[in-house]
Amino acid sequence: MRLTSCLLVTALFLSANTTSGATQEAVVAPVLAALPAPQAYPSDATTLARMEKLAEDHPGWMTKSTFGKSERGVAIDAWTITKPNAGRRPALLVVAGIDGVHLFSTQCAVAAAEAALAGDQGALEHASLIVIPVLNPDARAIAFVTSTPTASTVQTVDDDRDGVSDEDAPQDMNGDGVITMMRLKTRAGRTSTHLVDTVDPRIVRTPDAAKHEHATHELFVEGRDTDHDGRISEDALGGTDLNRNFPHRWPEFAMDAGAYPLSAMESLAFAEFVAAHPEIASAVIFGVADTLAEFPDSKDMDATGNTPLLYHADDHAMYMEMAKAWKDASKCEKAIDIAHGDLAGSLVLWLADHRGIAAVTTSAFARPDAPEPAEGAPAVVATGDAEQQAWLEYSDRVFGGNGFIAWKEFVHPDLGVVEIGGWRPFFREQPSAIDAAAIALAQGEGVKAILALAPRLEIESLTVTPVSNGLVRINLSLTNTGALPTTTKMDTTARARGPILVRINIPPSQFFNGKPVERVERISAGGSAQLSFTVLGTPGQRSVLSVEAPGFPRMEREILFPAATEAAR
Amino acid sequence: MRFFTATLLLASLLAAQTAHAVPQQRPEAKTSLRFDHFRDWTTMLAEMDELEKAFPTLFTVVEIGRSSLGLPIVVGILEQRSTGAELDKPAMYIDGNIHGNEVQAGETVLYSAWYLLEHYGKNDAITQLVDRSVFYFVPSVNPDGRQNWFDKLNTSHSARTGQLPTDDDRDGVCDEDGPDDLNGDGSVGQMWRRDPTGAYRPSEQNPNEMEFITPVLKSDGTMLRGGWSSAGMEGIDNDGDGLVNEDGAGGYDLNRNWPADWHPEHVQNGAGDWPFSYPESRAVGAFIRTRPNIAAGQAYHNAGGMILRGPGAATREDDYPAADRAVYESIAKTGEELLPGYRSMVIHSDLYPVRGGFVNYLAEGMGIVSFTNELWTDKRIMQNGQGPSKKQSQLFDEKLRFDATNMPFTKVMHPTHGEVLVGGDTKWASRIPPSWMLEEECHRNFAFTMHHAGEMPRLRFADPVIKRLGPTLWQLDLEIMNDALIPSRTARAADKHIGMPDRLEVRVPQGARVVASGFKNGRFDINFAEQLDTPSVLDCERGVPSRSTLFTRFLIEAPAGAAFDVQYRAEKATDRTQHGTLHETPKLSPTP
Repeated sequence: MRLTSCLLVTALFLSANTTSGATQEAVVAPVLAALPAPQAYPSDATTLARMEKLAEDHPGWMTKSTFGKSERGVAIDAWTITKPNAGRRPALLVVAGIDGVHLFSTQCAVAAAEAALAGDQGALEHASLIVIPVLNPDARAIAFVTSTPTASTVQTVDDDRDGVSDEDAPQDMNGDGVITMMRLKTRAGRTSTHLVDTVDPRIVRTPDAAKHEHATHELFVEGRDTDHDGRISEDALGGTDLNRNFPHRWPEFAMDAGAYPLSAMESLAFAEFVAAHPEIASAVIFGVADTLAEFPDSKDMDATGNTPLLYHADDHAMYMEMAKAWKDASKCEKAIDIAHGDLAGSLVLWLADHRGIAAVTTSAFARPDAPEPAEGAPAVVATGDAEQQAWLEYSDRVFGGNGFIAWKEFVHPDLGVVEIGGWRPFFREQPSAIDAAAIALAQGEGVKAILALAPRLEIESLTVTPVSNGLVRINLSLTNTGALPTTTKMDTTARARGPILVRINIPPSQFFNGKPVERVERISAGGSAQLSFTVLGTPGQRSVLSVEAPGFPRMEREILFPAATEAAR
Repeated sequence: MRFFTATLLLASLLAAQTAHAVPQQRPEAKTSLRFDHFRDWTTMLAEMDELEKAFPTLFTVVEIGRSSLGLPIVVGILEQRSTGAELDKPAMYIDGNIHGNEVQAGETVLYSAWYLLEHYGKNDAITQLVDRSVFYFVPSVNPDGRQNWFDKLNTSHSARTGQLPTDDDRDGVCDEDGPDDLNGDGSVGQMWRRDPTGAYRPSEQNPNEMEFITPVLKSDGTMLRGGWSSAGMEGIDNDGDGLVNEDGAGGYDLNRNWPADWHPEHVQNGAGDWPFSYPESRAVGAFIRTRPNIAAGQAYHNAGGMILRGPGAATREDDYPAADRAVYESIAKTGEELLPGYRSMVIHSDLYPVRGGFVNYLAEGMGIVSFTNELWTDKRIMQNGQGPSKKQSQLFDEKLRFDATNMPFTKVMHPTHGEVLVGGDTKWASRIPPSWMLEEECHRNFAFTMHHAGEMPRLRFADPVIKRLGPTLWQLDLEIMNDALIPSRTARAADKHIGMPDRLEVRVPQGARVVASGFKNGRFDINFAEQLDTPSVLDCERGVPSRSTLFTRFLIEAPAGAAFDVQYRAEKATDRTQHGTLHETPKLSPTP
């Protein structure tokens, strides 16, 4: 608490004394330490240790399974957390560590496991939790070691199609320890694409043609033209962005989407894991996108008319329920969406639209709002990029401007005089070291709240009514007492998870209404399904009615045909 | 002397006749393969091995994967190694039998390899084609399905699928309710049950057929009906769920499992869980990705007498730019002439939508000019270009096939329906040509693919045109010509940056340098579109178009007489080189 107060005071001091354009000379070590950066988050080794400790502290509750390996041979693990001896339960899947950008995600996944096991473990009474804290260990390893955000796997990809792979990666040209951007003023023979904002020259943005603006600069990722092809930093190490490598609206021909859907070892292993676990009914993905804090309400379908571009219209209400439970528990009302709604090839929509799983994603972090201006304070002049301006305000106010590295002139060996600077890596994707732990805890509660919504399938009633001469009417009522449906509406189309099967072990020739195997596709939250059978049996005959569904324990009831005297009435 | 002269005359006459007769004779074969029968996978594999043993310098059989049930999936690589490295020659990929019941596709692939091998060195056209190309033959993409067709019960239209157990009826059990041979005739036929409202009856003319009867009002006021209705294919309710034959072996479609416009099952039946989710498609896909030299593709199916090309869906029309469509249409037009009764068709508009199809993956995803031929059409029955009438079909079955492909209807007691009639077409009917017509079917389709292969890119340099611009400045105009129909890069490949761009590189000695380069629109263009970076290497994204020329210009700073080397590299064509020295090319003088 003392450290936090100290940091806060320092930050406030700096913000009071800092104008837009704070320089690195004003750096204060504690402020730098609070910046979102790899060292602010637990390493994967720490995460593994934490999960193992959790397992140790809760014997019989947690099982680790390795379901795949990364490109570099690192094990990818899933932790199943379920009440001992409870049998099958619908499972909530939590996935994190999809890239080496949103490093904070893994902390949220671990917090979810801890929250579920804390206290009376009530959320695990009717559901299981499966946690994959790190899906892309290779990218995260690079990020932690080099402090460079890495969206992709380490698969070798010839991004510039020159026959050589990964030969022109970004480089720290000016030796400031980070890789940022380079801006080059317009030069004859070159094509400009950006301009420097006149209100805040830290901002480099695309020109607004409506305002008759013209480009004056080119923008590059910091680096050289190592392969002398006229392009700079165009063939970095890696790889495939796992979150663009899934089959739903897979971005064919995008260089970072992989040669084909599930071409990355990590995504294929994940897909096989999901296919092998039909009990997975819902999922929360911690990553760079968000559909939880702000649910995308588009109901548009793809060109075939059979698959939603985002979410199935009839599932929107369900997702709003999930979001409400999450918001109420986590107190998180907003979250940044670095993907800006582009979920083509994403893991979350593959789960939702191809696998029939109620899947959502969130970055779990929103940039804290700027405080209301003091009365009488001069109005803030708007720049041409409100989003960047807001981030700069946050950087200036909380971090003394150190979220942004000031543009500095540099003589580039290929380009001549340029300016190097830009956003500090990791700054805009996740919370600071000060806030990370608390936000993760809150996310744990949010996941736990979603876990508690799990569907609960029960036999509400089973009646056997004699009709005549051994002919009986069997009425079965199945009910879902949970707050989520037994499966999504999308799954009734996709048919990926499997229906609820009701079987009666009597030959089909003895059925006059209904069949020996009936399928119930879905029971809504709080809803029920009624089945009726008219069957001919022999007096005193005992048959079995069973109910099976993915993720639910098998239920059996005996059907007793009435005795002869009773049948004869 | 007279006798001697007469003998000499006779010998000359005979020699003259023999010299004409030789091209018509079948060359002495090194292998025992015949194409008057169909073979199962075990035999086909053995015959591939036989070809490899007989032609070890030309043919190599390589296992590229295993099927769902563990059978080897093999490719036969046919190349003349002495004429260049494998990947430096344009290749044609030919496969068949991705659908288990489309068996003659396997024979056609095997025939193709056999014919090329047996005629190499004996027939000039074949020899030249093999010398400049590579061929990849996969006789069966679905060996499990092929073996199932031969070994197990099948109908005249089953079974397309692979043999990985699949829960088609979603009851938690896989493959538990397939067809049954109720009458023990070794075939799965139609099943008809007595039904007073049924519109069919056994044909009085043909005991192997059920005929439709239009209901007739009888004099007593009742309707005369056939008395029989269809009960589906032969079988019983094995799993006691009230349905018959709803969950046979397999239940998916390997030809919907490719990453070109792939959609899940609820959009495209049989698609599988995701692209390449089956070992067969994954193995073939992996092989193709290691062969960027594949410029032409053929995937044989049956039936219908079609030469099919993509797109598989209307939404993918733009995947076939006009330049590519012209190539397809030209090749297919020749195909229609080589294959009487076959029609050139577009999959989605002339047949039905297909999403995730293999030939679509080759064309749209890999930039390979590809067709699917649907082998065999009943237009081949009367060989008059028309489909046969019912009477003609009957005549064909009875008098030419000797009723070998259908079983007479026999009565059987069915546990649910009571007395049923079982019989009809066997798996040898309908989609499969008679064995005595197989070889011609194989040969004509093989010939079509050889025409297709013959149109793979053939590049050559024209003579360079050199002009001196200054004491040490030279203009070097290089033209690369493609004499074939297929461009070195399809428009699709260029548009979507599939594979590597072609590359034209000029190398000059130390002290000299290439100062500028670019593309011209034509030989007599004054200007060129300059490529600003790396002037010594031109990236030719669009390759050398169909039967056309790529015009380029290089400006070089070098002393007179300096040597230069030029190389044009293309993934789907043999690389070409040219050498020269910088001396002004003499202008052509007008003819006096």
